[in-house]
Amino acid sequence: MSPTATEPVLVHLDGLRIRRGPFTLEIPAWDLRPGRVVGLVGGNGAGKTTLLRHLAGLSPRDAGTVSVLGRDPVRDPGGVRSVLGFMADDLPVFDLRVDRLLRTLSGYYPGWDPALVEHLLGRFELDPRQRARDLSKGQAVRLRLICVLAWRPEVVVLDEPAAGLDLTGRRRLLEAVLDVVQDERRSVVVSSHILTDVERIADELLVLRRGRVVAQGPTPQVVGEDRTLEEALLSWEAA
Amino acid sequence: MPLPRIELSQASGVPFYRQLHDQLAASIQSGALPPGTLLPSVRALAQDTLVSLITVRRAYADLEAAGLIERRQGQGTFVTEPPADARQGALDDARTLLTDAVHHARLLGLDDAAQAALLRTLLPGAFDVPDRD
Repeated sequence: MSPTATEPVLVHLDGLRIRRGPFTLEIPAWDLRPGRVVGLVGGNGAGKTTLLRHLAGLSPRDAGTVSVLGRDPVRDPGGVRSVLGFMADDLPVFDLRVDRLLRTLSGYYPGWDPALVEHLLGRFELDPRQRARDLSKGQAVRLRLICVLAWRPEVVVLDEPAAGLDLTGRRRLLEAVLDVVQDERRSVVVSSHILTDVERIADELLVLRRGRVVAQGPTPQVVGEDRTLEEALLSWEAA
Repeated sequence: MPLPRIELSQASGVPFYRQLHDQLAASIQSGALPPGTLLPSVRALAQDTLVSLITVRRAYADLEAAGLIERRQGQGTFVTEPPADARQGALDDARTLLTDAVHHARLLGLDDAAQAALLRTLLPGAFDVPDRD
């Protein structure tokens, strides 16, 4: 599949293979098109984080081609990170006051939007005067989300963003994800174990199991009419 | 015009697109969303109800197939205006049915005042506006 004028492709992936000891991730073909929320699901050891870290230019691959808005995450990780925002809950946060941290980061991103940061601090109920090390797990997740959303990257990649969030936090997260795709040129890829939330907001799914693609495509087709995503996933895991 | 509140339930087991469709259809049929009302864009309604774009698109497509809403190129999605002759036909049919009902009610011994009172309970809000002061 090649990019067309009407439907440009944000991320294009062809014959990807990543080997990590006994584990191999293999994805024959996958495209991320603009204006969509894509859910990445699968049990532990499915390869979700491996894929997302590779897209963000944080790890090498063994075969295949990968393009993020025309940039290769291996050859041009800096270029990729100027268009792709990656959030994972194990990324360290500098131990500064929240407002100082955000101000520091703003210098690195041309697209940094202070008004959006204000809005997100309010939505996520984060006190800008708190020190990063004093934040609870859930608050730290909210801060990482703000950091990745603040500069409006074309591709937002969220690895288990709901981990550590309470019910309200999860609701705010869903709102923030749907906010991104109000702009039809941008897309979100989100991995999560909270399948009801993924099923709720994802237009498309990529389902992995032990490094292989089990299913991919529009959510209704992947899940089917008479079952939930959780039930679908259980049947794939049992297969 | 503001959309009537849409409440989606995850516990109901009914798919979200179906819930969206049913609630919008009910609002259109009850007149809460009158003909000609501009509906929110797919993206805006998704944001409002916290569901995927594909879910809203599906609900809109089903409403459109049922003739309840229509897409106008470059303008948005609107509650369908029923064609004038369809409305006249509906009025004629209703008149026939109601004439019959009035006739039967008279045979049962209900006078006009009693029938009017009964109609009032069947059509709340269609008669005098209640005092708010």
